[in-house]
Amino acid sequence: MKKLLILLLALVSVIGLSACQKEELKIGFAASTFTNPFFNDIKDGILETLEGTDYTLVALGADNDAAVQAGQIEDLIAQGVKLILLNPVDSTTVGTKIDEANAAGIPVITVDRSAESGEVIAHVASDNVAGGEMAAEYLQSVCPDGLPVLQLTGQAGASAAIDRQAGFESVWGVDNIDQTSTANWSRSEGQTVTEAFLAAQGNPEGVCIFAANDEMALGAVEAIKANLVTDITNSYVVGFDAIDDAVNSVNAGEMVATIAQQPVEIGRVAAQIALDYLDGKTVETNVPVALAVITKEE
Amino acid sequence: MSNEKLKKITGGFGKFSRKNIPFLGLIAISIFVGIASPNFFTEYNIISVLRQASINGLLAFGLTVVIISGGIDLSVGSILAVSSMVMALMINSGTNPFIAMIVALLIGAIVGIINGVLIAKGKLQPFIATLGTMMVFRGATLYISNGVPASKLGEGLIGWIGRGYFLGIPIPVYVLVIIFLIFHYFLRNTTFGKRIYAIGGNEKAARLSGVNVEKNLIYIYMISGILAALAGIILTSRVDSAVPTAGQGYELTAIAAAVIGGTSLAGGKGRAVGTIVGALIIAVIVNGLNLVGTSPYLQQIITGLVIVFAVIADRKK
Repeated sequence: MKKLLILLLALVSVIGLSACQKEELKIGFAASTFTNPFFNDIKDGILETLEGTDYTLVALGADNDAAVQAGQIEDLIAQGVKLILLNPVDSTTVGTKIDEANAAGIPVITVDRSAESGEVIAHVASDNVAGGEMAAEYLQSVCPDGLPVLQLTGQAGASAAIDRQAGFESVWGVDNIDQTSTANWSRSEGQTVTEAFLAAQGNPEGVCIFAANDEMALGAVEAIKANLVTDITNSYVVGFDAIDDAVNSVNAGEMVATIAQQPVEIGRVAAQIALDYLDGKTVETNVPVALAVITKEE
Repeated sequence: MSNEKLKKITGGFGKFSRKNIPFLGLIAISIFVGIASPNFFTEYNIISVLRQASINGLLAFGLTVVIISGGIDLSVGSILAVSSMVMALMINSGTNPFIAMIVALLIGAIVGIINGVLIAKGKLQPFIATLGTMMVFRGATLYISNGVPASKLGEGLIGWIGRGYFLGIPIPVYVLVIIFLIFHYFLRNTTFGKRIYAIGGNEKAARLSGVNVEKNLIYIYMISGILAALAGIILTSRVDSAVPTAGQGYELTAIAAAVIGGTSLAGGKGRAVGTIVGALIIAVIVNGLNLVGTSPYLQQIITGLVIVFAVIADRKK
């Protein structure tokens, strides 16, 4: 029995002492989750910028649980980080935690997702509106006249869905779209909605589609392939996010393009702003990070 | 010192340490976290840890009672979600927050009773019954909320209970301590408490000695449901929003706290003191690893190891 207690103490001490620290300069990164490669990429970008500086990064992921994130922000405050890079689980309510950090003298930069309240010194994110515009411009350049046009939007209320739709429609024109429906970011819903669209259009030879994320775009591709009349080679499907399946689809000639965010760049830029601010320089408050159109590799 | 006296002291210490393993474990872990990070034993951090332990602690008390009785309740995460979602929707459509909170507790009680009836009268195994209700009420939460969070509930009572302070200590900590005292008293000093141990120890014998097992089981699961709803109220207040995915997986952490605290999954054994210490141990581990900045995945590994150690240590008694 006593042996077990000692074993337990030994385990804890190994963990504890192995991470024993002298007084360090720390920057905290409170991410919504690290089980999504997108946010791991952001972290890598941050680490790139911090390399060679005196700052170490304390990165905590909340598994998309707002309560866990609240605890993690508290723990960052408790260890006296100099600045918090925050990727909120819940944009509407993280304000109270931002206030708490500010009250402890810790500035906050929001990354990839904004916070509705609470004072932050800067916000760094992809410009989803610009992404929607880029998608519309590219689709315009490849989509022949006369083909029916479908827009698949993301989940209602998500800022990314709203922004991408706004960007797309500002370039394409709402009146030139035959149908706009939500598929809630889901591949299967994208497929169902597209099937219904093709049927409603009387099974056209081809179709032009913008989907606000790749999952829905891939579902649309499935619907087109399954249709006996509509041909995937006469169809032009643009997605968003550049996930692996989508990039493969583009290279296989099924989807024509996807809009890529640059998460590593988002991380790099956010960390640089943090360093500049801590150095006493004035910083930009709103920093959109450019996106890229991914098309078939030549 | 004579041999006999030495034996008495070490024997006494041995008995003390056997009975209070969880507490000693908490002390040990706290000391080592304190060594690893100078920020652990600060006022701000200790208060944070206590508050962070409160939601799991409340769920763990409910689970303790259920496990002592020989059962299990996997549905507490879903009960937390559905009761607090209803409360949040009511508040957002203008209902008085106090009334909405009472409704949440009532929903917790009703779902708990449903669990109890399925188990006691329907003779379903607790694992199966609560697995089913876990899914049903998670689905219900998604349905009534349409998958959308209910946020920005205002500053009054609903803001105070999760985010407020009294004399510098967060309200959730007071709630945790009050519930702890209630459970400590009623498990040790009331007939109902003794019946719970009896049912868990040997259900047949309890029945033969006149205990109305069915009725008591229904009460037991109702208690678990009410505590899940209370935890939900505090959680919702803490993050100012009720999300459809709230509480997912929380049942496992609650079971962990109960087991680390000495509650035996075989039934018949467990203490309120053990459970609150178990919840604190988990909170200190999470906090310690956050302070020291190690990989977040390490937290789960360590918590799992602590559970295994605790069960082994418990079995050797």
